[in-house]
Amino acid sequence: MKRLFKSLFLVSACAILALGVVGCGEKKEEKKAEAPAPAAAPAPAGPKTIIFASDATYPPMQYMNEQKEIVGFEVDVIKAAAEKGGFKAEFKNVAWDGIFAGLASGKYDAISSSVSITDERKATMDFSEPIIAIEQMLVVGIKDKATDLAALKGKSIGAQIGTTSYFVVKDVKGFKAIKTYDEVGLAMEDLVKGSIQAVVADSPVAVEYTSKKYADKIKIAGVIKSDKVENIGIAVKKGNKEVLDLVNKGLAAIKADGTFDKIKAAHKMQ
Amino acid sequence: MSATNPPIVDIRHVSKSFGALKALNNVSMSMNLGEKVVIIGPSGSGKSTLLRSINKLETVDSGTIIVDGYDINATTTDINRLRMELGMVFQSFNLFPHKTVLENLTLAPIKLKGMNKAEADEIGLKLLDKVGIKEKAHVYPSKLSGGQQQRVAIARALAMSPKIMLFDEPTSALDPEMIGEVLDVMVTLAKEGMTMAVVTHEMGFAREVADRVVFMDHGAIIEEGTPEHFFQNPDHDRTKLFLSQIL
Amino acid sequence: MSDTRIIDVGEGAAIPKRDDWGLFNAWTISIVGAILCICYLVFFQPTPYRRIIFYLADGVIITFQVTVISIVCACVIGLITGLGRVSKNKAINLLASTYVEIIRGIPLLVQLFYIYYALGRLLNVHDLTAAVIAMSVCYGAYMGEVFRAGITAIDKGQTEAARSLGFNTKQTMFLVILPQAWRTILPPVGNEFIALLKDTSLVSILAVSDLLRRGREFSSETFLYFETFTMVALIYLVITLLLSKGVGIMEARLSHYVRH
Repeated sequence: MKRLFKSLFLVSACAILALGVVGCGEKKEEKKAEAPAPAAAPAPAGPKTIIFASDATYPPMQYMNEQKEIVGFEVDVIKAAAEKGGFKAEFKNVAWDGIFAGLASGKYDAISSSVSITDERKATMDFSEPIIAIEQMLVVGIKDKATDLAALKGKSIGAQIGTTSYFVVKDVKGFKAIKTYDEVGLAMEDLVKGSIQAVVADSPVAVEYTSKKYADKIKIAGVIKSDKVENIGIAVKKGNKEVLDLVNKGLAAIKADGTFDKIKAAHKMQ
Repeated sequence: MSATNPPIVDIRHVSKSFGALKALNNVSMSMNLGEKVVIIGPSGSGKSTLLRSINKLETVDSGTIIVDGYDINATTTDINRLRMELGMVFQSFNLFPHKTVLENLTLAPIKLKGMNKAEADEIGLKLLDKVGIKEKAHVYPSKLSGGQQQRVAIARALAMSPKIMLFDEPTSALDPEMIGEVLDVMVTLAKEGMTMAVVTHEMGFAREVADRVVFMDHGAIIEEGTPEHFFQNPDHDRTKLFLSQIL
Repeated sequence: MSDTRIIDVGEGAAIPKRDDWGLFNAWTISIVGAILCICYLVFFQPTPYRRIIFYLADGVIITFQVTVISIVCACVIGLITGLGRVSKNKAINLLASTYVEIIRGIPLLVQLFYIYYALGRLLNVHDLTAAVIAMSVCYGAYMGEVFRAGITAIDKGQTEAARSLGFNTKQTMFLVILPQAWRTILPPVGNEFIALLKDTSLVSILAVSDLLRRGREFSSETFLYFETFTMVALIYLVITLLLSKGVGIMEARLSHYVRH
C-alpha cells in the first residue's frame, strides 16, 4: 500500500512538472533565443540553431523517408543554405493546419514548408527572399477531359486546407463541393477513389503525384492561370530579423555559387 | 385417484439437478381437475422447483410432465399456448412496474388472446373487484402495499382464465398483517372450484383448503395424503419432525 | 422492490436531473452564458465574429446531421447488439460479443480512417456516409453494452412473470423488459449521445465540412485562431447543453411510474 502511494505521488509529481514545463515552454524558448546573444557578442559560441517547422507530407518539397527523416527539395536547399549562412538547421514535423499559429506563438523559429508568399500572409509574418516560383495545377482522373476549372462545374474539388491551392478555388462558384484536406496526399487519395473529381495543388506536388505514385490513375489537366507570380519562401515571426538575415544570407550564397541549381537539378525541379 | 378422467397434471419420474445439488430426485405426482394440492417441506426441499417445472420455468433433466394432455417437453408442444392455461403467482409478485394495475391484468388477454381493450378492461375490473382493489385500477404497482400487489398478481393470472393456478410461496414475502388478505382471496378461489397447486408454509391454509397435502424433503416426496391424515397422523418420521418444528 | 439501478458511465456531459438544483443551475449558467457570449460577439463585435458565424453556419448543420443520423443508427445497432449479447443462441451471442470486442479495441479516429480511406478503395462511400457509418458502428458497440447492462438489470422475475402468462421470448422482451430497461438505459445512453456529438468533430479528418472543419478552414486562411475557435467552442457547448437537456427531459418523462 505504501509503495502504491509512493508511486502515485511520483506520477502526479511528474505530471505537475510536465504541465509546468509545457506552460512555461513559450517563455523559456524566448529566453533561450535571447540569452546567448549578449554572451555571444564577445566570443561567438558556435553557429546559431534555427528550428524550421515543416509539414512533411508534401512530396517532393518536404516529406518523411522510411528512415523517418524529413527530406525533400526544400530541405536540401535549407541544409545547403545553413552551411553557407553559418547557422544550424533543425527540422520539426508540424501539421500544416496550425503551422502558422505555432510560429506566432514562438514554438519554432521559421517555417520551411513550401509556404507561398502572399500579401495576406505578409501581414502577419515575414518572408525570406523567394526560393522558387510555383504554379497552381489542376489534377484530374486519367480519363477526364477537363482542362480548366470551368469544365468542372457541378463536380467536387479538393485542396489542402489553408493553402494557396485552396484559396484559388474557394471563391469560385458552381462546384458541387469544395473539400479541404489536412494533407494533400489525402486529397489525391480521394481523387483516385473517385470521391472527388479534381485536386488543386502546387505544381511540384502535382507533378510528383501524377508522375510517380498514381501515374496510371491521375493526370495534370492544366495550370490555373494567375496574373501574379507565386513564390515560395521561408516564413519567420514578424520582426525576427536575426533569423531572417541568416536564412537570406545562406540562400543568396547558394544561389550565387551554383549549389542551388545543382539541388534543383538533382530534384528535377523546373 | 380418478379412474374415469386422466389427471390434468401428471408428473412421472422427474429429476433435476442444479450442478451438484439434486433438486428433484425421481418425483412422481399427479393432480386432477378441481383438486387443490398443497406442497410443503423445508426450504431447499425442491417444492418450488417441482411447481415451476409444471409450467416449464424449470426444465427437468429426465422424466415426463403431462399437462392437460400435452407433454410439456415435447417439441410439438407449444409451451406458450400451454402456459396460458397455467396461472402462476410468485413469491415476489413480479408485477410489471411500467404498467398500471389494470394494464397488468389486460396486457396478456389483449396481446395473446386478441381481446379488444374494452372487453379486457371489463374483465380486468371485475377481477380487481373480486380481489378487493378495484379503486387502485389506474395506479402503478409501486404505490401498492405488498398484500395489494400480490392480490393484483393473482388477478393478473386469473385474467387469462387458466385451468390451473400455481402458487409459489405467495405469502412468504409479505408482512404478517398482509398475509390474511391474500389467503382470503386464495380460499375464495378454491371454493369456486379452481384447480390449485400451492407451495406454502401456511399450515392453516393447507388444513382449510387442501384436498391433498404433499410433503417434500431433499428433492423427493416423502409422503402425501389428506390434511386430516397428514397433520394428525403422519406416517413418516421426517414429516413428524418437520411438523413439530413448524407448528 | 427497488427499480432504481444506476449504470455508471463516466463519459460525456452530466445530464441534468429534474430535482438536482445544483446541476440545473450549472446548466442554466452555462447555456445562458454561452448564448449571451455568442450574441454579444455577433452583435457588438461584428468584425470578425459575424463573418465567422456566417462561415460556420453550414458546418453546424453538417455536425447536426451527422449527430442525429448516427444516434438513430447507433441506437438500432446498439439494440440489436444488446439483444444479441443477452441471447441464449450461442452463435448470435458470439457474433455480437466479437463485434463489441473488435470495435471497442479500435480508436474511433482509426475506424474513420479505415472505413473512408482503407475500405474506400473497395466500396467508394461518400464522406458523410463514411462518417455516419463509422460513428454508428463505433457507438453501436458502446450502446450495445449499455443496452445489455440495462436488460440484465431488469429483475429475472419480470421475465418469468411474462413467460408464465404465455408471452414468447420476443413479446417478453418488447412488451415487458425493454419498456422497463429504457429507464435505466436512458441516462448512460444520453451520455453516449453527448459523447457522440462531441466525437463528430473527429469526422473533420475525412474532409467532411463539419463545424470544426469550417472553423479550421476559416482560421487557416484568416489566422483568426482565437476568434474562430472561441466561436466553434461556444457553438459546440450550446448544442451539447441542449442535447443533454433533451435527454434529461426524456428521462423525467419515462420515470413516471417510480415511487417518489
